Amino acid sequence: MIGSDVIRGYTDIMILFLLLNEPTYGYEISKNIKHLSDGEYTLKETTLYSAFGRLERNGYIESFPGQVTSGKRRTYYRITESGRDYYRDKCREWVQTKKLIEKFVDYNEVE
Amino acid sequence: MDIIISYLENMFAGLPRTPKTEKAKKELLAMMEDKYNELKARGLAENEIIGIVISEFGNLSELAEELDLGVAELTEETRICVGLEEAKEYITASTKSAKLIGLGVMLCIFSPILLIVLVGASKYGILGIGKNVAAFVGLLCLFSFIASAVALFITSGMRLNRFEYLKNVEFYMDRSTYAYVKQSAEAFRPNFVLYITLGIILCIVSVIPLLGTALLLDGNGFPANCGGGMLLLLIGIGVFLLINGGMVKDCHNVLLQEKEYADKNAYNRTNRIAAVYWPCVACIYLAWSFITFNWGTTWIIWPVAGVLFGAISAVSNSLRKKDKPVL
Repeated sequence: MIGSDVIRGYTDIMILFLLLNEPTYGYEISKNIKHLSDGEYTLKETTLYSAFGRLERNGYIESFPGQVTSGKRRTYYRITESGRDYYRDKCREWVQTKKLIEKFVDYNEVE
Repeated sequence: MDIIISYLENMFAGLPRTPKTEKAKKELLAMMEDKYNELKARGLAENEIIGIVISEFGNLSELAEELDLGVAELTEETRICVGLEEAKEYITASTKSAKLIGLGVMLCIFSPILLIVLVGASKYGILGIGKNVAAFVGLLCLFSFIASAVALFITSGMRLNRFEYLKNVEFYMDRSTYAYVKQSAEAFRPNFVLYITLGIILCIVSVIPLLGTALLLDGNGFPANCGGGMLLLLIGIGVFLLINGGMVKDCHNVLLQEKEYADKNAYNRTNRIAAVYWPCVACIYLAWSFITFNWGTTWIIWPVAGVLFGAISAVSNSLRKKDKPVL
């Protein structure tokens, strides 16, 4: 079980990762996160929405109205250049964090 | 899908309607709808889908920044909404119960009157009735009054029970409900002042007949008994008015969350003391009266007990207040 406090700092990575290749909309992202995590992790709607707002205010993503599909117009998000930089920074940070914490993990204690 | 829409509506109920909250609601609904449609396409049962969508919605407090609202405002999402109907019902129930409880207390206070007067009459040979007949009729009246009072307490207590939660939880109401309650409270204010003033005057004046007979007749003779009866009669009416004023005011204060309403703990403590105290007093009264058969004098226990009770509950409440840490 991953604590929500731990994962909170990394929801940005997850969202930006899914935007790297193409713009997409809210549910598509939460569905893919669930899929990629093998159903281990579900991003709550409120978490996702607040992350969108935060990322957009920081200029890491942009929102735009998509094509009308099945009678409604979804809000799509695309990653910006500074978003890509931020993503790389966050990934680097994670690698460092992982390396650091690894030193303190005793695998004998982990079943 | 309707359930999900109304779930979201309820989540946002009570929050100010701003472009930001409207946008958040729209976006969240779009995501929930997408999820709903996909689960539906996978062939899940409706209630299963609703369960999943709602459990994966998350927590409104996460949206504080998006909505430009304080986390405090959002975490109050568990507050209950008190609608116009509920407020109206509570006010009506309180007004009715105030009358019934007031009547019940009045009956309790009235209950020994006939006994006091009749026993006095028999003692001084006024109505030509025997001591035993007087005691019998008086006691019959006493017990039937108390029995009716208990019935009134139980029925009105049950009527109000449903609204007890309002004193324990934080709730909110929409503007029209608030306006209604406020207006109702304003309209009651003159009555409240009238009831309380009259009630207090009656309680003070009540001692005059007894005092008069005591001073003029050395507290002896049939007039002293009548004075005792008058005392209880006036106190009974006074208390009826005080309860009517107090309970309806209390109900408005509870709805307006004006925290002015009686400290619930103090109220409960007084109730607990009363539950032991009054049966004890009744026991002493009956024992004393039956042993000495001096019904003409023993009634004095009631006014003494009443004043003593006031003192005891005041002391117990002020002692408790000292326990609380001063912040």
